[in-house]
Amino acid sequence: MFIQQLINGLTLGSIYALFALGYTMVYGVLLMINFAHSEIFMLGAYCGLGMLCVLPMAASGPAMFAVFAAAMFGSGAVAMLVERVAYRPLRHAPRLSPLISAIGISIFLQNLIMLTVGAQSMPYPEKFPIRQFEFWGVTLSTLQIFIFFLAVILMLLLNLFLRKTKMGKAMQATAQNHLVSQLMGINVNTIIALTFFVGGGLGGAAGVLNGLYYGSIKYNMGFFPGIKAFTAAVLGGVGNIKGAMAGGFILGILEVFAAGYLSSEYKDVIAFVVLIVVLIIKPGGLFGEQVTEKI
Amino acid sequence: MLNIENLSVAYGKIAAIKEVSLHLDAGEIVAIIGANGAGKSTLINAVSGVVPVQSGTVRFQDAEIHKMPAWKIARQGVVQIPEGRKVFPKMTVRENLEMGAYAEKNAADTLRHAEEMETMFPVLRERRNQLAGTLSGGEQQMLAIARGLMARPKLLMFDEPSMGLSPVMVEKVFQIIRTIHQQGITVLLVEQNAKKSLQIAERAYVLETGRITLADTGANLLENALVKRAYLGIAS
Ligand SMILES: Nc1ncnc2c1ncn2[C@@H]1O[C@H](COP(=O)(O)OP(=O)(O)OP(=O)(O)O)[C@@H](O)[C@H]1O
Ligand SMILES: [Mg+2]
Repeated sequence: MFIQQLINGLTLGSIYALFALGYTMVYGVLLMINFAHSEIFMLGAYCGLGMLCVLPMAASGPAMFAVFAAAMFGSGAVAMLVERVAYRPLRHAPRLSPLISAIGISIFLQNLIMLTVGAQSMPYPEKFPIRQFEFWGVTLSTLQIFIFFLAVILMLLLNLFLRKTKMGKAMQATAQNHLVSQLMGINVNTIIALTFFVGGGLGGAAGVLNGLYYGSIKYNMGFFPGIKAFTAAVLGGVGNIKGAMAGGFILGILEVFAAGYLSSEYKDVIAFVVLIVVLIIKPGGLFGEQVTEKI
Repeated sequence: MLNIENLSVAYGKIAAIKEVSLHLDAGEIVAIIGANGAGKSTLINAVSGVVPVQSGTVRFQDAEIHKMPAWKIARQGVVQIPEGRKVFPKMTVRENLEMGAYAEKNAADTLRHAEEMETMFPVLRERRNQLAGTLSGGEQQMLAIARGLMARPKLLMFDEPSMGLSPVMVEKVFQIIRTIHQQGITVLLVEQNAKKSLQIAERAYVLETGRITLADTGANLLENALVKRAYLGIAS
């Protein structure tokens, strides 16, 4: 029971962790919660589905690669576009304005998919045979292994990008101080756009994983996972990349345990409880630095 | 090299710089002195493009840089070492240097240049992998200067580099500025430490509540009665 829950929790946590990164990265550079990120996640799932449907070839590594490439690129591009049209014009407006703009974009994107693709939930085709392993009364599927490892690989790549590349370092610099970054010759707008692209891409990958895991997707699928990923980001200290990764896994595990040991009705409640408790006790997050106002 | 004409800058309705004109020739070292709130930082921030210009022009080597975004101005070789150092606190000393050379495409060149900087400022070699936020104020100032030099500036603008430093450190900073100038870099120095600035500068301007009230050679201003009274604390 315990091990089984842990496995399920890690699977779910992988999705939350990837998803949470987009919230935290954008907050890092703009001090703003991108509430449209849950729709980027949803669009990723739809892009992945589109690719799954048009791909003629049978299950293969390259096909999987194409699915994720489409989802990540599509989501990243939309996230970048959202920043350009909905947030950048409001960069110096009061902080409430971009928040309202985000909610507007969110509603727009949901309705766009609902009207163009459909309001019904759509099955995620199982092109890739899933095998189950059973041992000590525990079931582990190849899909769970895939989800976990893909998430971990993407997170390692992100870490490498941030630490080793010039663009990644410029992203860190921009998160620390826009003004000084400009004095270094860094085009802060480009870096912000890139942050949306990368964060959006990771959210898109999470969307596809979510579709594969649950077997179907819908235009409003981003709502609950979005709240959970946001909670994961807060749990890890919003703005803190490693915190979001850890927060995602912790929340995934908590959720599964709550569902397993209490009742499945507590599944969605747990995220809110965690969110409230963290905000009251440790608003800076578990890996909390001090919450500081940036200039 | 740098030509500022009738520059005005305002924060909302509050005018901070009013019709300022000044110029720097290539290879010169020029100081701007002024009291708190005179508009010194505003002036060089306007040159750097990080505060918007209300009216007037800023020309650098024939380019109208007041029309450019800040990051492009930096890439013209107009580099600022900001007030209060403003190193990137959560990056290592070496990463800070790398950010200074952000516009440089050649990674090998950046590496070589960073090592040169570590030779010029040995403390930066000792602290290479330390987070910049944990350096002392003096060390941070060294890092901020080295980071500015990493951009291979043509014009280097210092905003109160001696602020908050011990007398020994202040001496050292002015020595470094002199060295940088001797290497052929044009220097614009903004300071409250009027005496030291006027000693080092070939020419200087006095800025008072957003206007230039005096302009002369550094040596002459040191002897000027008004300057003596207001900025050097010498009664006459
Ligand atoms: N961001 C801002 N918003 C509003 N007013 C500002 C802002 N920055 C500066 N000011 C005002 O503009 C004037 C000039 O400020 P500035 O910082 O340029 O002075 P300074 O000469 O650099 O002073 P100091 O020696 O204290 O650094 C001051 O009256 C200041 O209050
Ligand atoms: Mg100042």
